[in-house]
Parts: sequence; structure tokens; C-alpha cells
Amino acid sequence: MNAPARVRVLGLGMIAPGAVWPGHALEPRVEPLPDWFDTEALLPGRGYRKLPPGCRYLLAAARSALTDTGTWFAGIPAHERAAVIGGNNAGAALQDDFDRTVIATGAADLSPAQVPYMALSMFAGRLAPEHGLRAFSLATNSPAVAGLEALQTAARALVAGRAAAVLAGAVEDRPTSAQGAGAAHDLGAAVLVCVPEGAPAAGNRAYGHCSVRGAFVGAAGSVPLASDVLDPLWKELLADGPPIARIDAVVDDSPAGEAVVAWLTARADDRAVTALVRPPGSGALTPLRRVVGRLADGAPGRAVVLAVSAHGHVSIADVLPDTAGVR
Amino acid sequence: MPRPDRRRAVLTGLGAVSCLGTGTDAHWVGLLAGGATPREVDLPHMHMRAKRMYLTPRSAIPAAPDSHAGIPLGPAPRMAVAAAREALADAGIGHGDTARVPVVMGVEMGNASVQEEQRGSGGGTPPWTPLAVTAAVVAEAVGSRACAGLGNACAAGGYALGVALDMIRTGEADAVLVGGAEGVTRVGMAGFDRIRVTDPHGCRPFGRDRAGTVFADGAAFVVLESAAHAASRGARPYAELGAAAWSCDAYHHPTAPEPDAVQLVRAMRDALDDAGLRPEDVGCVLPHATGTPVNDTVESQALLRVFGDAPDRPPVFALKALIGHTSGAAGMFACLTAALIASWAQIPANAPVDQDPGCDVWLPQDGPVPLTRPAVLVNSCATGGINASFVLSRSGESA
Repeated sequence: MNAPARVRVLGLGMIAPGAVWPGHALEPRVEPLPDWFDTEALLPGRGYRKLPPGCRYLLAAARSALTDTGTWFAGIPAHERAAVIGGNNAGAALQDDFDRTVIATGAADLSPAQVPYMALSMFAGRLAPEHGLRAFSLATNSPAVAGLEALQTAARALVAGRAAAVLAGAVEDRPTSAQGAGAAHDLGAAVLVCVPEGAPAAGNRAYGHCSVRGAFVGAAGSVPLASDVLDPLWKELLADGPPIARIDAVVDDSPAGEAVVAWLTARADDRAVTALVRPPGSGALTPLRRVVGRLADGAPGRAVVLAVSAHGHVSIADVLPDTAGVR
Repeated sequence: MPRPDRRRAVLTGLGAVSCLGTGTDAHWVGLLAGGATPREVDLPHMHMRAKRMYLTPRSAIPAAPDSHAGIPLGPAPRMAVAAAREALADAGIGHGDTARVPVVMGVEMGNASVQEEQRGSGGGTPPWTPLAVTAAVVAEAVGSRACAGLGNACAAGGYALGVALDMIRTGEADAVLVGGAEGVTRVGMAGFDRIRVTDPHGCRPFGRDRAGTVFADGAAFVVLESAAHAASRGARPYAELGAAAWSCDAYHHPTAPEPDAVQLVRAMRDALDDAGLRPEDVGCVLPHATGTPVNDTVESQALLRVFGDAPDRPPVFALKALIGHTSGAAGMFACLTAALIASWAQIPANAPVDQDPGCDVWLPQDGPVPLTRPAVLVNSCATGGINASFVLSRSGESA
């Protein structure tokens, strides 16, 4: 296999309770106040209030990330602008509400304005008219890893020449409490403005560089042994460059999660490991939020962000902050 | 001519489960026989106007696997496993060789039916679990060590194919198992019923009286492989995937296509350019053609702009009139069908329709017609102005 595609990150956007700025992305999660997201302040203008909440979070994060790049993005031709957005749960409450309405009174009582958002991909799709993204709009949806998967897919597409700039991100809204949502479920959105490694972007300083590899270790976490799959991946992803200073592991207590944690523990040595353990199905935002945080906080040193799903997905992001370029 | 500086990709295995039955042979024979007809969906609480789908026979839906990571699985992931296994077997890739074959799937509603079943049976509010589990289920079943899930609504399959092509071209993989699978969902049908884009009678693309689409369930898979890798193990390709181009309308309306189809035309032209082909090399087009009044008109105008209106323009095969609209899997069903058309050099007859004069495409209905030029172009589009166009060529004829 070839080395994984790497991107340069020129802009960051982050919207979550207690973290409405990329520099806060590494802060502990907080429970949202009822009015934590101020639509009028973050998305001034007409037509936003009726959008599903997740869609508003994503629009606000993208707007913030593009503002972060200054006027540069406006100079990119529309047919070279794209988005890849990952998520798992942003449409959960809507789907439940829709189905209950159909069961109770019928399809005629559904909100036609909300219908497109049955498809999680429509949350990503709403970015396209907002920012003139005509190269492509794409959604990733693997449990837990979809945010990192979006970054990986963006990097691959940039290398393939499908776009000159890609907004890679993640969005989540919580299912209802009746659906089992709790404080561990992701809420908010993160967006990274990505360009190909080495592409000229005059006047822009970069936050750093990222690449992502994915693997599948099986739901039982032993396919046949996690190390058989992950050791080559680790070596391939991290073969060159500076030593790893810190590792963020977003895992759950599933057999797959426990197998990957055991594998990681054996390789962590004296590196700083931050383990974020949560129930399966909590969403795909947290891993990408850690990437945003590692790029934004200005701390030197290479970081790894790892995410595992109970279903067996593993994604590993290599994050190289460019401390000289951090604003 | 294909660019000599990058790896070429060929399709070496196919697999399908659909309203036409189990297996690629059943799919092809079914198309030649005129396709299926929609039936009323046998679910409780179907309180909507359009209640019919092109349904996979119950006998064709496998019973296993019935769960993954403790989550019960509905018919869509189970059909996916069956179709994926068929594609791998067809390609001659055994279970011991699948570790380095990533699974890439286009899936939108995925496992939604399990939660709908619980709601519909009065079982209270089901716990939410992510819907897009299908790629993981397939990876587990076939022994793959990598999988990716893409959800781009009804264009998901077209985008999965593009991602897989990029993986082959960049050397990330030598072979990729690419697929799409969707099941019956009450909420999906109701939503499209609400915005009046479903037809209670049948799927009639380019028909004068078309009134919307009719959905379908099923799963379709292909094995996409580097041409060199396929040759090294003696695999016989069905066709070459010359290109998979993408574009986005970025149009302000969430469910209507860009009226002048500039971006759809760009996707088609980009696909031909990238494959090193000209419009006159195309012997058949599989349009997205859902039977939706506006979309079919816009797409037919886009085809006119790319291929012109001369008598020798390529025939169009409107697949959804025969098997319905499999939503997230539709692009993969079109890919599989295009590979069979290229391989057999034969285009099945379109379903009989009173053609709309506003949809000026050549829609042969009197019987199969031969594929007289090497390439088949496929469009895969979705709500939100998402477009993908890809080109397959008869193996060995594009070089």
C-alpha cells in the first residue's frame, strides 16, 4: 500500500456546548443550556431557523472555518470546492418523529421542509448552496469513525484531483431521551478547511497536516487478533516524521473497543494517552473534535487521534501541528 | 485513450439480490424478460398515498446474519452479505484472500427497518442505533480488514464507486468490494410521498404520464480491481471502469435539480474526458431517470447537450422502470447492469411507455438492441443536486 494521503489544514471551525471556538475543542464536554446555540448571532439572515438543529450547527462551523481562512476561499473556483461531512445521529430525532407521525395520522402531516433531512447526507448537502461547492458534496456515515472517515475521504479526493479545497467535518445532534440519548452523545459540528499537501495557498498559514487510515477489527475485536490488523496500519501511518507526543483514544466498552485499548496500551510507552470512553453509538464528532483541538491549541508535537466503533471500525489520524503557523 | 500514467480498474465480480431474485443471472434474465412489477408493501401503518414498491421476494432475503455488535439486522444488511459473497465468488476471490479487499458501501437508510418494526408493533420507542452498519456487517462476513460507509442519498452508489476507483488508482488497494444495499422503510416512503415525488402506479421514466418514482429494495455489489492485479491472477473482467466523475448543483432548492443541468452535463463530460472517450464512443446510457416529472425532463435535456439529437445518438436504458428505485443502492445496480450490457454487448428492451415528447431520448422498447460501441455511461444523482457519472467499457476495447 502507498502512504496515506495527507492534507494541509488552513482553517478550523468548532461549534459545541462550551466549545464555540476551535481553541476550546479539547475542553471537557459540558451539558448544553437550552439556548446554547444562538442562531441569530451565528447564522444571521433569513431561512436558517427552520433548518434542523444539526444543519445549523454544521453551517455555523463551516462559516467559522472559512472566516478563519480570510478571503482565500472566495478565490477558489466553485467547481473546485467540495465538502465531505461525517455523522451518525443528526437525523435520529427527526426520523423517530416522522415515523410516529405516519403511524398516528399519516404522511400528509409531515413537514415538507424537513423531508430532505431524513437522509443524513442532506446535512452535508446544505453546505453546497451556502458556499458554492460544485466539485462534490459527500457524506460518510460509519459508526463512531465517520468524522475521521470524512477527513480520510477528503484527503483521498484531493490527491485524486477531485477538488482544490475540501471542507471536511462532522456533525451530530442527539437522539431524543426516549431513544436512549444521554450526556455522552455528541452534539455540535466541526469543520476543517483542507487543501492538498504542497498546494500553493499564498498568504495562508497552516494549522498543520493530517492523514487518516482506517481498518476493521470485527465486532468481537479479534479478527483474528487486533494487532494483526493494527500493527501494519500503525507502522504505515507513522513510519516517518517526528515522534508521537500524545495519543487521544475515543473508544467504547464494547469487545472491539476493549481489544483496541489493549493493543494501544502495549504501544503507548511513555506517551501521554487521553482515553475518552463512552457508550457505543455516541456519535462521530468527538474524534474529529480532538483533531481540531490538537491543531488549534498550539502545543508542539505530533498527536494521534484514534477512534473505534463497537461494530469493528478503527480510524487512526496522524496530526502534525505546524506550530510556526498557528494563529 | 486511458492515461498511461495511472492504474486501470476493471470489474471482475458481480452480485445482486433484488426484485428479480437472487444472483446476477436472475437479474440479467429478469431484465431481458421485462423486469418486475411493483407490489403493495406489507407493513402496518402505511398511511400514505403511494404504497407500492418493487419488492425482493421474501424467499430471496437471507435469514443470516441476524445481528452485529448486538444490534438486530434487518433485510438490507442480510441481502448485502449475500450479494457481496456472490461478487467475491464470481471474481474468484476466496475467503482467505479478502483481508486486503476493503469494503466500500453506499448506504443511506441502512438498518432503519429494525427500528420502524419496533415502533410499528407498539413496542415503544426503540433505542437509536446508527443506521449505516451495513459495510461493517459485510466486512465481518467476508473477512475484510477495512471498510468505509458513504451516504449520498440516491447517488450513494455512484460515489462509492468513485471512492473505490480512487483507491485503486492511488495504489491504496488492489481490489475493492463496492456495493449498495437498501431495504423497505416506511418513513422513507412517507417522506417522498409527502413531497409528491412518488407514483402510486409504477415507475415510468420519460413517460408522458409519469408521476414520480417507485422505490425498491435490494443489494448490488461489484469487485473493482486493478487491471494488472486481475491479469496476474487470471481473472476475466466484465468491463473496465474508465472514470467516475462527480459534481454538485449547489442549487438553492433542496429537492429540485438545477434547471439547466450545467453540473450534470459537466459530470458526464468529465467522465468521458477522464476515460479518454468521446460521446460517439458511447453505445448506451443508463440515466438516473427516476420517473419524476422535472428530473427526467432536466436529465433528457442534459443528455441532448452531451450527445446531440442525431439519429446515431446512443440508446437509453431506463433501468428503474424494470426494478424500481433502490435509492442508495441505485448507482450500484446501474453499475452492475452496465457491466452486464458491456459484457453481453446487448441492451435489454425498455419497459413499454408512452414517451413524453419533452424527453427527447432514444428509448428502444421493441426488443433488445445490440451494443454497437464500446462504452456505457451511467448517471447517478440525488436530492441536493448531487451528481455522479461513470463510464464502463467493454474490456479490452478502451485501450
